Amino acid sequence: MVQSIAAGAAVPRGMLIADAWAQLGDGVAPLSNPSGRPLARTVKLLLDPLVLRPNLNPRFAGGMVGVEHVDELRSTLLEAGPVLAATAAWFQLLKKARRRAGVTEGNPQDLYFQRCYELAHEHGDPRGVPDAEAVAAATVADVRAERGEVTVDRLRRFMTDPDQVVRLAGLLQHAWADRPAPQPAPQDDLTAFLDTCAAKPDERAWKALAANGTGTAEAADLDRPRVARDYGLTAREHPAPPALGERASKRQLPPPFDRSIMERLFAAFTAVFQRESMADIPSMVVGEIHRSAAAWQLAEEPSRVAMALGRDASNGIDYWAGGGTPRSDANGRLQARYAREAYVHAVHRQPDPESANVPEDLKHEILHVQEPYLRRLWARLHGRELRGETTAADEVWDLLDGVFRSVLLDQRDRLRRLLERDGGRS
Amino acid sequence: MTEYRVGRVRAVIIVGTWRTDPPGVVRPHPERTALLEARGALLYWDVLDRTAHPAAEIHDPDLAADWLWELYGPDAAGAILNGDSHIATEWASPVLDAARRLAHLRWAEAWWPSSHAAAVPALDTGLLRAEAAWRTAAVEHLLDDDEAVERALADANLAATEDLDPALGAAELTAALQALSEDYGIELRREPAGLRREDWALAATGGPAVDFALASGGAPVAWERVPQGLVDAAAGATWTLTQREGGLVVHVSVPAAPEARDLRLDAAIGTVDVPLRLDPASGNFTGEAEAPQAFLMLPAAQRVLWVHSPDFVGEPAEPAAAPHRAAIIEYARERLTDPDASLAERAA
Repeated sequence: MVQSIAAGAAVPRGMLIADAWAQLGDGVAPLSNPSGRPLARTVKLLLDPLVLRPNLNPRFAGGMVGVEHVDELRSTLLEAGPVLAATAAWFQLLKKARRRAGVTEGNPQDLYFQRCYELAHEHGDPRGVPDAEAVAAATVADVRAERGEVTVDRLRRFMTDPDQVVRLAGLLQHAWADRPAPQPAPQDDLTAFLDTCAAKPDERAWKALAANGTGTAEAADLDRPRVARDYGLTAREHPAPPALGERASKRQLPPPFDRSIMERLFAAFTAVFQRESMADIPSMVVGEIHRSAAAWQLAEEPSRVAMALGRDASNGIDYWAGGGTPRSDANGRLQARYAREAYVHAVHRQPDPESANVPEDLKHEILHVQEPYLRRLWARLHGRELRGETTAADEVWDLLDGVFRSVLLDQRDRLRRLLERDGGRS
Repeated sequence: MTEYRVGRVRAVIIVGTWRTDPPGVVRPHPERTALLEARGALLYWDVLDRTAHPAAEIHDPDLAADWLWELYGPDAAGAILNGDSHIATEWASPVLDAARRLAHLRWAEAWWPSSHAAAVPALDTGLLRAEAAWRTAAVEHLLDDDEAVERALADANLAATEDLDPALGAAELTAALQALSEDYGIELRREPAGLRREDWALAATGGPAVDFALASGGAPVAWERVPQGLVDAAAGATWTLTQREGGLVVHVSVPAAPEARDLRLDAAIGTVDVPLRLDPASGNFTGEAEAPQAFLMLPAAQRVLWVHSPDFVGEPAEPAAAPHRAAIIEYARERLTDPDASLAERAA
């Protein structure tokens, strides 16, 4: 039978979700924003991965949902109502426990949403659980223990143990002595993927890039003089073996390739740490040593492909000129974002990046945006590797674009702060 | 009823005011633009034309489809996405209202024309940002920045909301911010508000008396070349040339905005650069510099006074080419008594 679908025979997914969400009532209010819509993280951490699962149910994906799937989407959400209400109730309890324990680090939604969903499945609604407060307190303590101080302390102790230092230094030396020289390869496939990754990501092409070792091949140039430095990945002429390191601080991390092993792991610990998916400390340290000697200083081929894609997507992006003819669809989209950024700067009445009052490092980052971009992309990919997260074809563009957005927003904050009351001068 | 033309420029769907040659959207002047960066689209309202619905540049229709209906209504949103060439809508919703208020708050932070001359008081930045954080949370599901609420909360200052007149809803705003702070794990700052309420009558008494003015003149200050809240938005800069013992001296005076910060400004006239500092006694940014004897021979066209902040080095715009400035000042004055305006505007 031929189905004829009339124009408009699709409904915005956001509207369907908003409508079904409203029917769930006050029970899910803690997961809603002041407009009564599910919080952005409710969608990202709960509805998408755990309830609607568009990866398994492509009919629930994208901006529009076909009318024939509308009822199913609504009933899927409504059926999840009780568990979502229980999740919301646990979230309230966990926030209270967190306040009582004096925890202030991290975003509670990021830290607790999925835990609360697990608790809701395990125990149901906390109002029927006699020791619910104790469970909540234990969960908060658990989440706190697996990130932050405790883990960083263990890492520091392990890496400064004299016996370990000798062994680890030997490992590091060998890993770098044994580095294979990657062979360059033509990069047409990268451009082809960049042309489609935003609109129609092709899973097969994405897998093929990794299977063919394209990311590793694209790292061949990094050892040539100044190449890695021009990408912002090192301050040195050539990448050199990292130090093991004894201390680390969140501020003033050097470029990725210049970070010590300790600094690399520290940065990941203080971002999002997930115990279940991360290895124990000794194997993480050894893994990091080997990673540092690998192509792009990343362990997995898809991450290396992503670095090569990010490099090509951010080539030639220019704050003033809009960059000229795009080299790929993705490159054009990032350029368009930068062109919008210049307009947003004018509307927000922000200082001119070329002004003498703008510190040199910030000016450099704005005019050579590829450098902070590749640094941040590397850090994201590194964190994903440590957490064992894989990247599907349809997540690549979100990653490439999201990293660019985050770089621009930080630049914007720094420009704006120049005009604050003290402004660091006057 | 809002009516807009809809069309495409390359891959971007444009909803708004069009020009035909070259085809494209007419963006309002930055000084009158209330902007919101949504997922997949830029939205903007022209603060002077008071249309309820924003113009839009939609660069990713797939992302925008998720929320477009909340701002234009399902019918108009469908028409936009289906390639219709025209929409009309009377849609109203709390989300549209919050989006517009947030964009307006950001506009006020950048362009509020505080002025003694025009009797437009300064706004409390802390209060603007506190309300912005609250409005941001109401539209976080359609914003491009997935950390917008965290960013806005980090800017908010609880002291500003606590100082607010209870009749304006201080308690409600404070409670909302505290709940958000807990939901997003951002500790709110509580710094005593730096605002000093000046005595309107005493401020802006004009420049110092000058004995022998050989020449003088004045010019408006281009808004886009100075930060918000430094220079009186309605008054002009003046210069005088006097003979002193050592030679010619150019004195420049620029009326400061109410509660101006003491940041440096630069003035230039002819070939002479004059750094300016805030003189709290007179309420002016003032400065003077030696001028060459040749200054007296300059034709009037070259004795044009330019004032700018060292932070803004773009091409000087011709202040006279911004006829909307008077309208913006008028608009700001109306907002002060508008019960629908933001808390900072009503509290000022």
